[in-house]
Amino acid sequence: MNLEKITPEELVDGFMVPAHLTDEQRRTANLQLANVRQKRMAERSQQEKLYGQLLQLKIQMEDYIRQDTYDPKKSFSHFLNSYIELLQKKKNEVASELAIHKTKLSQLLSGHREPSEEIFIRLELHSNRFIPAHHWFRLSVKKQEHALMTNSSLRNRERAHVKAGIELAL
Amino acid sequence: MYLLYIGVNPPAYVKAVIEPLTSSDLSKLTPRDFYFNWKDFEDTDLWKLRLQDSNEILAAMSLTGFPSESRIEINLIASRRNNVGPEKQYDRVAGCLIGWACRLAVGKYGVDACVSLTPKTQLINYYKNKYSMLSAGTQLYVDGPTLYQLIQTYIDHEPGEDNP
Repeated sequence: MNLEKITPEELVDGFMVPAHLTDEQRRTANLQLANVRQKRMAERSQQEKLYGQLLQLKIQMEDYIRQDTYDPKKSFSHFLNSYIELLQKKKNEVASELAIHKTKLSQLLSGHREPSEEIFIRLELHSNRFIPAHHWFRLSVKKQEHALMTNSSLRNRERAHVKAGIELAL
Repeated sequence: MYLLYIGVNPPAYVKAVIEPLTSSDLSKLTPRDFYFNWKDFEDTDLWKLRLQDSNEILAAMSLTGFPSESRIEINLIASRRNNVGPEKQYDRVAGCLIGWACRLAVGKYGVDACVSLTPKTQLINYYKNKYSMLSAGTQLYVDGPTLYQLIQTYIDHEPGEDNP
């Protein structure tokens, strides 16, 4: 069906048909938009900024969770550090809000302690359910999976315990 | 994310995915099926939308990023010809792609994220009404809470949260 025969309502549900602009018109249009946005950005509330920052953090977590690769820089502790930084709260304050000892929070933030299921759920509730527990959980699992797959000493040690295995051939 | 399948009564949500368009996909985007010459957009950031359980491309989108302005511009969106007019089976196609552009913008630019487009003049009001876009002269744009809402409506929305 030709686009000319489609109703405007249907066009906007399935298309973005661009207007043709000359280079000069495009430069002017970009300038107009930049000016309008500059004003809007100056008027943003703290709540709006926090929402945007938390949404960015959540999206970055989701994108990393979906990746097949493991990146040690994007650990549970990395995202927990980012989360606390965005809230602009002291670590002691966050520890108190999560009802965990400040030493435990420090260990979680440094990666010296693995988080428990309770921590995942408390973080979900702390974020007003904005960042679900399973996001935090999957970050942790990704690290565990990498450790399992790359721990050759454990694999060698455990080999001694397997007395027999199945025979498998094509 | 979910499209709305209107080929059944009552309409039902069906799972869809948006992925980067590969060079082999590009050859499938013929003007006969997708209305435009997509090879002209080869140097832009190209995405495709398909149902989760099908490899057939339902729609495609071309984007250009403007990092210095924390902005992503939607150059073009087109649905496959067999999902247009009387044969149309799926709703929310452009909404999901626009929502995806918004999600990409927030992932990259955070709180400063903006998505813009320059539709044909006669369609401007329709985009404003359907996607709550604002006018900045020639271009339409979305940022802040309205942009976050588009992500919520089209990308994070789970069926059951409301009725189709």
